[in-house]
Amino acid sequence: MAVAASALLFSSCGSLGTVGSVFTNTVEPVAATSNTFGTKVGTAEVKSFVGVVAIGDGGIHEAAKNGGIKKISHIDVKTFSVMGVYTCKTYFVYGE
Amino acid sequence: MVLGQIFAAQGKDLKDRYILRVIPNGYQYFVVPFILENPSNKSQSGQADITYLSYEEDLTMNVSAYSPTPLDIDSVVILSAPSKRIVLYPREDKHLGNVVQTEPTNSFTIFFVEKEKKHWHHRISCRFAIDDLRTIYRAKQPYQIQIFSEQGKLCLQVPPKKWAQEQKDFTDILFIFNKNK
Repeated sequence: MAVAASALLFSSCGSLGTVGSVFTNTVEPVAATSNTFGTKVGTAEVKSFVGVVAIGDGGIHEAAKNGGIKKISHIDVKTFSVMGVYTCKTYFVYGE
Repeated sequence: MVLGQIFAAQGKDLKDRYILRVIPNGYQYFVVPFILENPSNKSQSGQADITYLSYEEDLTMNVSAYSPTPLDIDSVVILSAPSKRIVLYPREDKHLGNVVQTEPTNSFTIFFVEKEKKHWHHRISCRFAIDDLRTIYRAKQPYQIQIFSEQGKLCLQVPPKKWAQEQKDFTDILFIFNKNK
């Protein structure tokens, strides 16, 4: 049980991405398309507080719109989190 | 107070200010959005981000400008004391048969104008020389992004209290741009 608890505390990965239970500051890929590598970038973010309140328009469509992107080549997400109290996810959409 | 410190921690490291990607002909740098304000008119605010491709002499600064009323934007000027003035012209792709006319270096495009909950959101894409960005970040005072419209002028700048830190960060970022071509 202690091993399971420490595994949960110190590392986590898989479909949720790399998440630290105390502090997270990562940039990871979300998706890629067959479109050629884009030179434009757009972002959108969503923030949550204590897992109760979540604000922001963090959609991929919003990020693409902000970057003037019509053809998406790939998408990354940056996660900044402190003990789950405050979490900010920023989606980076690349394309043309 | 704790939340304030958490917010402050985000983006403190220079590496959190930009993202570097390898692309076919070099590198793509994306400077993440930074806050803009109008110190003399709190109803106007904004944010900007910068995209730079290492093989180009120009960069793209995308600006979100928020105002209580919609603006019919006709021109954009970036003004830096004492004398630097970057005038941006509307960008229109002109197709002459199979030839697309080269865009002017100093230009802007309006991506969209939208009504949001509390304000109007104007998204503008500005293109100008990276040397001009170097010049405006050397100035003692923050540069102003002046957006002109029939309805009046909207002025945005980096908050004066943050200018020293912003200047320091951009000096380092521009050094990195220059050395990693």
